Amino acid sequence: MNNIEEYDERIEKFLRGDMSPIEEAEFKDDLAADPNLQERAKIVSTLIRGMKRKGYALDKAVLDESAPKYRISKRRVGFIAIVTSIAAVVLVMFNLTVLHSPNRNDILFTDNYTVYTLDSETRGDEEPVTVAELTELFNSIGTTDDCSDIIKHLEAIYASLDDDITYRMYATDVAWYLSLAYIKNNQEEKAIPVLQKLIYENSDTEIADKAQKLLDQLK
Amino acid sequence: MHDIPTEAKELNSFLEKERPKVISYLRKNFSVSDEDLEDLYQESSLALYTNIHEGRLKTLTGTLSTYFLRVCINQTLTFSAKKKKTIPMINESNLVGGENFRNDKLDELFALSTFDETEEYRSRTERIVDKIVDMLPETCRNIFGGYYWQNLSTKVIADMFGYANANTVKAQKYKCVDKFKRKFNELMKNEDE
Repeated sequence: MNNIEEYDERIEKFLRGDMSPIEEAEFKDDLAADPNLQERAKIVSTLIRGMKRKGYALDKAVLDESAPKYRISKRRVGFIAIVTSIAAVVLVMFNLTVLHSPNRNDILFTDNYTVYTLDSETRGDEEPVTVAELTELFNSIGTTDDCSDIIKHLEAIYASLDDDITYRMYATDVAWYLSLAYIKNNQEEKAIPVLQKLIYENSDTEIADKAQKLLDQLK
Repeated sequence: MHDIPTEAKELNSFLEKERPKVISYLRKNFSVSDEDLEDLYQESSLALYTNIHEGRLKTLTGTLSTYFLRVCINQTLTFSAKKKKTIPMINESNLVGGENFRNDKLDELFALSTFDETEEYRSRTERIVDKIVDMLPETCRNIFGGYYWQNLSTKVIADMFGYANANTVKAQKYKCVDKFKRKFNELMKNEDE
């Protein structure tokens, strides 16, 4: 591996947040001492920021164009303005620190949820698992506001994992998405033991790292 | 809803741009005929439009291109399962290059590697970067878009754009970054003079 390849690997590792605190400290020391690394870091970070900026703008243009449009008549605007003003005053007067903040779980969910693409092996006629069933369930979490029904279904699958081989190949996925569904439904206390078991049973794997990060944020 | 409206110009333009690379990727990874791939692409396009139009992409994480790629993969997986075709091992870890490039880390690195943190310098670099990206050869735009924006793995990028393998994409990426660097330094110097 030449210098430039090494530089890029370290830079990308830093930018993905994959460095340990010691690695990060060493990287920053090297950055301060090595003008070539500094130059490369400047170029790569500038480039990535530019790509993201352009990408966001293009995606926004597509989403805004086709998003649902709501038209409100002029007469209703005044009424709605009064109602929302009153509601805003009520909320400000109410002590929100007493309540569990909805924003934290929304943020945790959004940061961790991804649309599911199921990995699977060649199936024979005996294979009972329905790829479509799990994909549909997992992806419904992202598109449904109230996940209660999805949670019931996933809980049944999760409970069967030890005794029934039907879904065992997808045990980590079931556990992960069940945790996310709990978080989305503001039942984070139920997500904790699921994540703990996921970490315990899959130690030193990527999914365990992901689950540990999420668990640390929940606690 | 049977067709994407022609008035949805941005979406139609997006889908036209995505078509060759998505189909190339699916052709490489699935045992599905070209005719079926075209049908699957159409169905996925319609699914995307429906999801946007019904407000289901409010919590989109990641890029629209990567989301759409996953929709196409899911459609093809379901199709393959129904037809009892061989289903490839595709999972999140081999689709993406790793964790996303974090905005806070980008800002931190930019600040650490430049000596001018003024808003004016930042705007200047943004302007120049926008100019350069549009001027780059298509190979570089494809790789930068796939790797740095969509966060795809080099293997997926190789499949999408017809490179021999992941290492070829990496080698091309280094060359493209060098091209970008030369142009960036040249334009920054021109602005200084």
